[in-house]
Amino acid sequence: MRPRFFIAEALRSIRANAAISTAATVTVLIAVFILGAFIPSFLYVQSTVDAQKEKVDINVFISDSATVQQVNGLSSNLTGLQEQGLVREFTFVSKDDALADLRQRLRDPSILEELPSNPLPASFNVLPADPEQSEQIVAEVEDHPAVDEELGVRFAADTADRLLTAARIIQWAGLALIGILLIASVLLIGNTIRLSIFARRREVEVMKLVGATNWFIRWPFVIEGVLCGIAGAALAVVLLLVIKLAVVDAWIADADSALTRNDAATIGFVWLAVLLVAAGAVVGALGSGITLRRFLRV
Amino acid sequence: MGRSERLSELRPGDGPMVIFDGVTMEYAPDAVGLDDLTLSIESGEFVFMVGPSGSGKSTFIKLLIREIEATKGTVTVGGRNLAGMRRNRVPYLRRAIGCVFQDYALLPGRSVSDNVAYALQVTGESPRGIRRKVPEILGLVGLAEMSDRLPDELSGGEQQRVSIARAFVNHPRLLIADEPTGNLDPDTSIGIMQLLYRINRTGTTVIMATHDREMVDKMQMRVIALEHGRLVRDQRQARYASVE
Repeated sequence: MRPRFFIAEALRSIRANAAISTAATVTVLIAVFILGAFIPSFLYVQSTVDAQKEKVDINVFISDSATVQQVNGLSSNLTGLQEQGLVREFTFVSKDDALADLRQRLRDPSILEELPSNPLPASFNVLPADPEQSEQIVAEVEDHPAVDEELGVRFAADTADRLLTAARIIQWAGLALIGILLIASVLLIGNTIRLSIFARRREVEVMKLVGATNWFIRWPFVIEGVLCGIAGAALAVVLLLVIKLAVVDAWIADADSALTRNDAATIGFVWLAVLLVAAGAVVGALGSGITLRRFLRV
Repeated sequence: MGRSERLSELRPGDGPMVIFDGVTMEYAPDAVGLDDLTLSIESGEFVFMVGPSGSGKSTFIKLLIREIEATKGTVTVGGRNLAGMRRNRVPYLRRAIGCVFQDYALLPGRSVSDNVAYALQVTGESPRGIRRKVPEILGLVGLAEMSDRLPDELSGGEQQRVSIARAFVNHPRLLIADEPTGNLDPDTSIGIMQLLYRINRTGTTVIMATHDREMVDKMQMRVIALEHGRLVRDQRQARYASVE
């Protein structure tokens, strides 16, 4: 193999077919740009939903009349559930903790001074390993004697349900969209390359007639595809970077924006750029290599 | 590397260059390209293939360069049975056979010298070898001054000379020309014919399919006439049509 010859051939062909090379590059640019804008948005929404899911907790309220042994018994039940993998973690919130917490949340804590005694119950705050299994945890602990009969075990069943449904929809819709985008861009790029090769099928025929092997003909086409793919993807990355710097970063800098929440993570720009350029190169190589196959059967 | 590969495909020696033994080519049950053709062409011969359109001349040529495979019978080129040839050896067979076509089959967008160089590049010839051989062969076909021109800047006759230079630059032992003068005026055709004759005098077997009656009559070479895929005449020092 002579890489220098093949690269020179690829460059010659890009120059000789400038219009079609430009079309292929722009096609890659558009596809990669859409993908590059969508992937971080999707990951952001996904991680926001995941963060919300983690906040779905269960409150097990303890009766004021429960004995220390009963509370310890409930605590060891929860430890048991933790060992089974149902419970991620749980914390004991004493009556005093609950009052302190309430005091912090009130705009005017002085009204608490009016209370003759602390009316707030102690509780266990339980974080499920998987919010979908909340019902199961509730069923395990709600009949325990330490649990307050009136207050019982509470978790925001409705909220949790809706959140989980939304999370599932977002996840599947997002993956489906990425899939459709990928397929559409491969088809689009493949089509452009097919046009380019179709215009040159006689040339491929002649090459075969003077005794060129299939790979001798294929290498320049593959390199051409890779170069167009990389060029299109690189342009898309530049465009994405400009938009990120001009719009998204300014938005995030705005302190009141929901986008500043630091528990939501998305993919770093450098990794995204590397991923997109690599995708452009692979799509270009596969697109031209596979399309050429039909024309090599002379 | 290039040279040894060529020799490995066409065995040297004085035996027949081409043997067709009972070759039938059926494209479809009612479309027969060749019908039980048997003939042989010796090394170093100059042969005209004549016959009306559809007589099987093109099929004959396509079988020689293994663009197609015979339905029945065996085609042997340079001592090689093409039926047994693996697909990935076909490019090496074609390097050992020079091909000239009626439409010149040049690579557009490449200069005259790049077109000739391509036939050397596919064999793995070194850039040094290419720089030496291309001007040499362009001088031989009389296009030394044209090496940087593009094909569409040349006349038909000049393009055909480029095509011959490309076909001959690897010094094949067999050269096939399919209607090489079909698109050219009589004067230009004589130049092309002389070039092919000179190539033949170096020992290269030349098979030329043609409709050019005048040319065949003038040259007085072996004439193989086909009609409906069958051999109707095979005569040495002959004319285009049989003399009754």
